[in-house]
Amino acid sequence: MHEGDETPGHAPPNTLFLSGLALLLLVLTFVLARPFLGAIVLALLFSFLLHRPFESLVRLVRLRSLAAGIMLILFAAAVFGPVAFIVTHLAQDAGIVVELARDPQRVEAALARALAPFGIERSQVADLVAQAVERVAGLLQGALLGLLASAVHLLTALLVFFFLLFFGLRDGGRAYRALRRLIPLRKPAKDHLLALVGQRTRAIALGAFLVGLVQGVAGGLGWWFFGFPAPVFWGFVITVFAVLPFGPPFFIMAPAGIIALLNGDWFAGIGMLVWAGVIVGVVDDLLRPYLIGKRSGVHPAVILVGTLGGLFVFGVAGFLIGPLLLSMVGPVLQVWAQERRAEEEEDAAGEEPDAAPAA
Amino acid sequence: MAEALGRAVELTADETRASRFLLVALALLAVGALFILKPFLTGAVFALVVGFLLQRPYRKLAGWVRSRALAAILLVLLTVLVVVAPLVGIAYGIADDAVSIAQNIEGAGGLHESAVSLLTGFGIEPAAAEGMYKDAVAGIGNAAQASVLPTLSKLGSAAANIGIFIFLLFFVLVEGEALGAYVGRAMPLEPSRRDHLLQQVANRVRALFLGTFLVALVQGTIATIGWWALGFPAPIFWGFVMTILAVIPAIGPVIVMVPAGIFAIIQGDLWQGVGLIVYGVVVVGFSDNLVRPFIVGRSSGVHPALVLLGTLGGLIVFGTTGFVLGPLVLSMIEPVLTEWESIRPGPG
Repeated sequence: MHEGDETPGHAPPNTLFLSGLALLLLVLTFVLARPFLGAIVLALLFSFLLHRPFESLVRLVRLRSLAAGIMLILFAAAVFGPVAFIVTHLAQDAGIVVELARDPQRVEAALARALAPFGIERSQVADLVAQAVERVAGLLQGALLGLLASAVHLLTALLVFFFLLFFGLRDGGRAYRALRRLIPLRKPAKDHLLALVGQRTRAIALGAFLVGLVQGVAGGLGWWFFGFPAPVFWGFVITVFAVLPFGPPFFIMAPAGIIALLNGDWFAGIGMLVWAGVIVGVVDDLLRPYLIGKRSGVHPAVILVGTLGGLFVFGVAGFLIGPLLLSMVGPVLQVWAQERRAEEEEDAAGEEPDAAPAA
Repeated sequence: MAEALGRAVELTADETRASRFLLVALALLAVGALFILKPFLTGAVFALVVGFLLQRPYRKLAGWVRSRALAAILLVLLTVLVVVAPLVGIAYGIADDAVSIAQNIEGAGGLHESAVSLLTGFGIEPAAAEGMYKDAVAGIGNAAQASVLPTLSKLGSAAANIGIFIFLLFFVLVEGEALGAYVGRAMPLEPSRRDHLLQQVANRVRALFLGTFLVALVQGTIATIGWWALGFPAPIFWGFVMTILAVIPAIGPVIVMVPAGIFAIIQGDLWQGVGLIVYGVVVVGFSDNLVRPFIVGRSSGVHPALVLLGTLGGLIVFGTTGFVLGPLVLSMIEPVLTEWESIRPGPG
């Protein structure tokens, strides 16, 4: 660092100007990309994850554009069916949940029975339940209305997503090489950094989101099998929260099971509790290590903070952006520390600090 | 130039401090100037770009009429006649069409019933569904009107922008060369690098305007003619929408024409609908492949993904004219980054 200051004419005016210009343009690019941040990040993520299958497809059909188009159609077919199913049922289930919440006799009766031993009276319980119900019902309806009102933006974001997925698959390799060239680090450090970032991204995408999907589907199936209302809705909720560490399906399914027990439904209650335990156990002990390995995983705290912080800062898309962003802090710090150490050793060993910049 | 650079190499510590101070002052002034310019940014940017694109015709014209000022005035008048006046007329047409579309939506009974039944199908109570539909219609109508119908203050700002555009265009034409040279001198870059960077940016801008916007304009016009000839409603508004869509790679006006054709077929206008779909897919779809090589040759400029992001992001961030400003900004990033990469210190 300090050598640069001692020889001011070396590069500063050129570099400073171009760096400033590049920074300005990058900030403007971010401003332009901000409305579609979620779609962009998702498209880049999927083109990264699908890179290897895409390259094998290219070897098969020879044409990169054709291969990207085929991948796009396959992806849409694989995703649209389930998404359409979930969205239609989600809206219906949300309606059921709202109705259930509006007619609080059942919840209230169960709660009153549960709280009676603590000396809380039934009327107090009723007040509490009524308040909570108003809140939840309002929130749910607000979310549904918001979803419908932003239909145009949603469609545009979808368009952006599929476009960028196509180009990300077709030209992603070129963009990656260009990005690689832009990183001003020595080759080993650069390789190390990019490998770490790639590993972390894969770990989060597979480890957190795929695992969440599995947990949500399993949880929703259990919900349906034991005859609880609105299985798709609660499966969706489990998926969203499954990204968080420490077995969240349990925290959503167990209360349902306990309510069933309190209502006297022994089969459904115990079945639900056992099933929740099985899901959490199987996923945490078998699926997660199998998918991402023990070592390359991102610390659960990072995912927790990233998910919640991302949701607050970037909205719905932040639930992905947050953990991805935070997971890169570690690799960057690690490579930085390594490089500093290497530089110090170099300074200590030889008296030629100007040898490196020439390359 | 060369002396200045030579001197820069031997800056003393005092001079370094002074140059840093000047740099900070310059940055502050630039921010201030941007704030003052902000209301006229559209006019100013368009004047710069159009003036840049018209440099070659301007020089030829100046050679013929033997007077730079006269040539500039002629070109400005021509631009106003060919571009600005039709644009103003089109803007009014769009506003009229948008209002009629909003009224049509409010009056369309079939849409109302099907939307409400769709919502109740999702388990939403009929009364709530009714309210949601009304809100949505009001929202669409308001958005359609607000996006194009100039309110009084917007009208003033549009007039000011047009005035700034005309004024600046004249000066950019006359002083363009001097301006370019001044910008070049002000850039603290070696002459060879500077020329390379400016050349790259100029190429991108030219490719963007000719290869993307002019092609989109031609395509949008062809689509609009078909729309109007087949008797579809609100041709100016939909023509405008289709022209903007034509900027987006691979989508184009077809994405409006096919659904509109299907809608017409459902409503019983079989030939009208089929005609629009065939026209959209065959004539408009292939006009892209015919027009583009004719205008720009095979030179590819900006990556289509950047054009897409710039168009949509620009529309949202900068408003109506953003569909030009967005791609313009994004088209510069690659040349600048490439130049930065070749120059920055440290191991490559």
